[in-house]
Amino acid sequence: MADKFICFENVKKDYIAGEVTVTALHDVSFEIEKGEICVIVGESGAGKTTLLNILGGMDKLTEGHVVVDGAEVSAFGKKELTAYRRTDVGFVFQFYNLIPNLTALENVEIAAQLKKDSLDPATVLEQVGLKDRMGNFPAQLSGGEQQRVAIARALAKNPKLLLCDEPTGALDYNTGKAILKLLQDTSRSTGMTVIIITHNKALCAMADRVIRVKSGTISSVQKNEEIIPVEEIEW
Amino acid sequence: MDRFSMKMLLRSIKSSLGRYLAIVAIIALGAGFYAGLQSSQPAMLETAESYLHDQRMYDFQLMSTLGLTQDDVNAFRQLAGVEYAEGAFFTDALAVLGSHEEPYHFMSVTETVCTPYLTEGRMPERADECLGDAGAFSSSDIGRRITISDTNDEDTLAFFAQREFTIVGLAKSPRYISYDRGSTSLGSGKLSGFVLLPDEAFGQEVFQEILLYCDLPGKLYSAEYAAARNRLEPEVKSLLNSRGASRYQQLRDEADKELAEARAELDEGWEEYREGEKEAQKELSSARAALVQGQADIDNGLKEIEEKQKEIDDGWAQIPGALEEIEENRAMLDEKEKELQQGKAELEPAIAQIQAGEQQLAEGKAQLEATKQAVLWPYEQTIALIDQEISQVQQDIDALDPSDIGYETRLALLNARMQRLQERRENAVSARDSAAEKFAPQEAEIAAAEAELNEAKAQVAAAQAEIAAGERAIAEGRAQLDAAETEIENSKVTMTEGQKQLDEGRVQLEQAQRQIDQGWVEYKEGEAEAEQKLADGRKELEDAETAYADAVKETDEKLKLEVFTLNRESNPGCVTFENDTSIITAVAGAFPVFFVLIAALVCVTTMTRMINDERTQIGTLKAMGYSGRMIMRKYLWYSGSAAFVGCVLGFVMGVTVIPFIVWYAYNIIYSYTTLKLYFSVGMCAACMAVALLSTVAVTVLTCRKELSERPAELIRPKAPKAGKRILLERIKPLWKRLSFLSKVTLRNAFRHPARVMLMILGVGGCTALLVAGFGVEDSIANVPDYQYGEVSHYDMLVNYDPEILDTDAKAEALWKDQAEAWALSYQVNAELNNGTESHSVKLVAAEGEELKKAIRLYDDRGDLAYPRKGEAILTVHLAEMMDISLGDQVALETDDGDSLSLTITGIAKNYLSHYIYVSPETLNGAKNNAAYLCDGSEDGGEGLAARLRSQNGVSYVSLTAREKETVSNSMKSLNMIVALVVVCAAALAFIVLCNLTNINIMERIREIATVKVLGFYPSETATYTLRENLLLSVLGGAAGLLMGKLLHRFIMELIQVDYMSYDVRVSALSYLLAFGVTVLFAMAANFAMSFKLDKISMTESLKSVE
Repeated sequence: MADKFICFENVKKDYIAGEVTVTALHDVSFEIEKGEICVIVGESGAGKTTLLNILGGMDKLTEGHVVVDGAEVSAFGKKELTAYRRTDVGFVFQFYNLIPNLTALENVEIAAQLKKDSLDPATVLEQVGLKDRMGNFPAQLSGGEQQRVAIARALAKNPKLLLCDEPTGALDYNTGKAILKLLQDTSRSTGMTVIIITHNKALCAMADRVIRVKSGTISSVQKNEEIIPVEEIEW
Repeated sequence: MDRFSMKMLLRSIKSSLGRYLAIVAIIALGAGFYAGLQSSQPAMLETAESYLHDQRMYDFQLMSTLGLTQDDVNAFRQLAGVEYAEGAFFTDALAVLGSHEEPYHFMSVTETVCTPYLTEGRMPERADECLGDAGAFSSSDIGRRITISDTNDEDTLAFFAQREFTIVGLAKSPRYISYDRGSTSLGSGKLSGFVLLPDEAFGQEVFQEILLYCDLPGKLYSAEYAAARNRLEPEVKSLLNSRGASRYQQLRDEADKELAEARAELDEGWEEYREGEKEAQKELSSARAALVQGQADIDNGLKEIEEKQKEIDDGWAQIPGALEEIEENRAMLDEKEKELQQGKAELEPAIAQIQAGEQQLAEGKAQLEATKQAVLWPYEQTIALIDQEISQVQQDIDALDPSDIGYETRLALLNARMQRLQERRENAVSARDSAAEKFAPQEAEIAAAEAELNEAKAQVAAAQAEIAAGERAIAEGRAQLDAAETEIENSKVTMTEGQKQLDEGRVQLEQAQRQIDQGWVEYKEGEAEAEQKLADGRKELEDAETAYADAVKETDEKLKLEVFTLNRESNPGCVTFENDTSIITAVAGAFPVFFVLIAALVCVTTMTRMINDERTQIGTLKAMGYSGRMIMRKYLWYSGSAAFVGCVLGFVMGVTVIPFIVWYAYNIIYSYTTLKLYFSVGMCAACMAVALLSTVAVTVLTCRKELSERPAELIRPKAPKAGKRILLERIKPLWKRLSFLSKVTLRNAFRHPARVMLMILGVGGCTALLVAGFGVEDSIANVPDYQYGEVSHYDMLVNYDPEILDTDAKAEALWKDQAEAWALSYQVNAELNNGTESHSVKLVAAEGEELKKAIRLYDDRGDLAYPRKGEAILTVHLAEMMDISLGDQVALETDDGDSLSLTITGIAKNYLSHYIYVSPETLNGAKNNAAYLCDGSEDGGEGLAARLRSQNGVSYVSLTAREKETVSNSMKSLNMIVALVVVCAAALAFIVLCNLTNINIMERIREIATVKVLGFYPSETATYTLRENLLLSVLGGAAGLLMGKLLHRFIMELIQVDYMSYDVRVSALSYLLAFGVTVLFAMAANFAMSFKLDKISMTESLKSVE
């Protein structure tokens, strides 16, 4: 099972809006191994976010199975899903989604206090290079710093899986790269599975595995043989 | 407004229905509350007005101390402006219905003024029929008989021509629009109700009052009415004065005549008395004079006797000396006698010699004589012849008449003759003498012898004479001595006799003295008797005089003309009604301010949120060329329409529902017909204006800021509000200790000051309302509990007649066996005066230790020391009403006629009625007439009370349990008000909480979605988002407790009823309850909101920031 850390099997997702049924995903099957950095890439509206929602336990699927670390997430009830999100998944959002009313440290703590074997928030923040900004409120931090806090928040829970939704989407080029570097380094140093969802194909270069999504289904799953360090990626 | 704008508006409303409804609701609540309370008073006034008009409540009530006659009534009927005038009788009397004796107010069934409002049965048709007070009697009493009890005083009994009446109907009287029937000096001191009797039932000639109905313009209590009444009043007064004056004159004349007769009689009595007094004094003084004279006589007699006694005693003392002297003298005499005998013997020879010498001499002499005779005789003869011739001539001379011719010649002849004769005679004589001289030597011889003899003789004779004288002297001395002796003897006899007489005199005098003494005793007795008789007479007269003076005074008093022109303002019902209804208005005035504030704040937050939500939309519209004004119009319509709808809704609900609730509450106190609703366009307009103004103004203010921004700025998302450290964080040790979520909650809570304000005001307002509501109940509804639980401990109060039960022991004997404890007291209604105003109060005089068993006198600081002489404890409500504080001096005038000046030494808690407590020493020997009993039996004293009621001398027994029940019942109406308040409070809390939470959630939807994604369980999410609501609710609640306390005090100050005092208190339970209920409301609101949280999709977290 070690190699099939995440497994999607014929996943289908329909959105019902009144009498109209929109199929957001269909026939989605792929696997991701533990410790991999996986980039899910696709155009706007291709179904990336739906995939993320399902993977992150934020949404339920209509058909198919999703297994994460041996547990069938697709069969989880609401409560189990919450527990799943709580313990197994770390989220990094495009717009950081830091709680404006909390300091950087507190934003990390809010996640850390959810789990027993969480990491020390201060240490994590130190690791992401924000030792000196711990007491700052999000509004006092730059975008990159905010995203670092967000990553720290995700990491602090010590999750099995780090889900990143367009982590660089709101950042400038250099900052974006720094964040990607951080994600890559983290994955490498801790062996954490990192899934990055993006429309930016350039990021594929840094991934162990690239899953392309198109029109609600997987167009290709590809293992990247020659991983390029983040510093060298250009877009 | 064009179609598009309308569509946008409707869509906005739809999308934010909750917020829209919040504005509607808060405005409705405010408007409803305001309009409802505001219209309550007019509605009640309207109702009262129409009732009083229908029943023709008097405009003037005229009374005169001298009574009023039918003529007076007629005179008033003639007065311009008076519609109806009617005379009426009234009196308070104890009456028995069934077995209960209670004091009732009996008055005439009037036909034109103050007509009774028949609620049941029929009007009385005969003198022995009556109408009962609908407030005091029930339907089942119709047909029963009410009897004037014999225990009434004679005056009262005489007042009625009839003693038994059948209740044929029940009625209300416009004179009693309030529940209070007033007080009386009878029975319990409180009238139980009124009874309406036909005039014939009163055996009276003069009316007590005349009631005037004038159909004055203007509404009840209005200035117009008052002005009209004031215009008429002087005329009414002057007519009443003149009628009164003429009646006074008539009665005065009658009384004066009677008094004058009495005076004359009295004067006659005095005259008699004075005569009697004079006579008695005369008699007495003559008796005294006689006695004094007698005494003087006796004294003189005694003095005389004393003198005489002294004389006698002196006499007795002299006798021995005198006798001795006599003896001495006798001895001396004997000696002298012996001497004389010797001298006599010596004289014998000399005498014999002399006798011989004499014989010789006689012989010699005789011879010489004879010789001489013979010689001289011729001479003598011649002389005799010449003398004869001389006398002849003298005769001739004497016979001569001087008138005869030749007188001279003759006379000369005769004188010559005479001379010759004379010469002759001298010659003759000389011749004789010369003859005689020849005998001279012889004669000389004889003469010498004779002289010698005579000398011897003389010597002897002298010696003899001496002896004889000595003898005579001796004899005489002897005789004298004898006489002296005799005299002594005599005097002895005389003295003895005198002594005897004296002794007798003494005895007589003593006897006389005794008589005099006796006389004095008799005199004194007589005098005393006379004095007594006089004093009696005087006393009788003085009594008569006093009686007369009393009669004069009484007449003056009785005839004191005082007329009273009273109007509706003197009717307690009318007055308290006005006061009570204005309370509602006052309360109504206080709330809207609060609600307007809340509404404005709700509006502020809602509109701010809305404009923030639609920021991009506004920017887009602006960019497209819409003017700021056009854009703003939408928001104005939004808030304005909400305000309008809310206002209309609230107004309609408020005006119809609240007055009914208030009416229902007051109807317990004010008894008349059903409520008439009151609508006022002005009030509606005012509500609308305030509602619209506050919302619109708030909207304009909120929008203006946003609209002034440039479209480019507007399109861009608004920078999220920066996190801020709150004050609490500065306190590091505390902050560190807080749980993570607490920190978040705290920070969130204080993020928006306006919302914190609103929250605290809203929730606080809710709590405040609840505190006030519960507090009102605590303060008022629990009055009976306080009064009968905390102040008084007795089970019943027994009033008895101190003339029948004239000793404490007699009274105590009645209940001794059954009662556990008791306290005797003297109770009387009194007027308390603080110098500026006076108020009736019940005076209780009892021993402090005794009273303690029945009543606890205490204030906030604990038990009060019982007053000493001249001191008093006053109950708090009256003290506050009359502004009397500790140490003040007050005057008290009791119904029994005592006037006291008292120092207030304590102000005691008390809730019902007013009392002033004094020690018995303050009232001089007033007999106890009431007893507080603690029964202790299971039935709360019913049994004992029933037994006591049947006892002679017991005039009234009031059971605490019954009293409490009665009072409690009248308090129940309050529950409605409290319920209203609680509902309002709940609504307020809900609106504010839901609105704020709603806004909060909308604003933080992204954050909430994020935490959900982070793996917060729903409960944790709810806690995370809503806990601040709870925190603010708690804070608001805490603030509300304080506000509630103030609000409660404010309301309580407005609600003032005379006879009842509320302890302005809110029990801990009420605070707890208010707080708990607030928190409950907050939790309920949170619960409702937690569904909304569940609905928030986590995908919101992924959306881009708008």
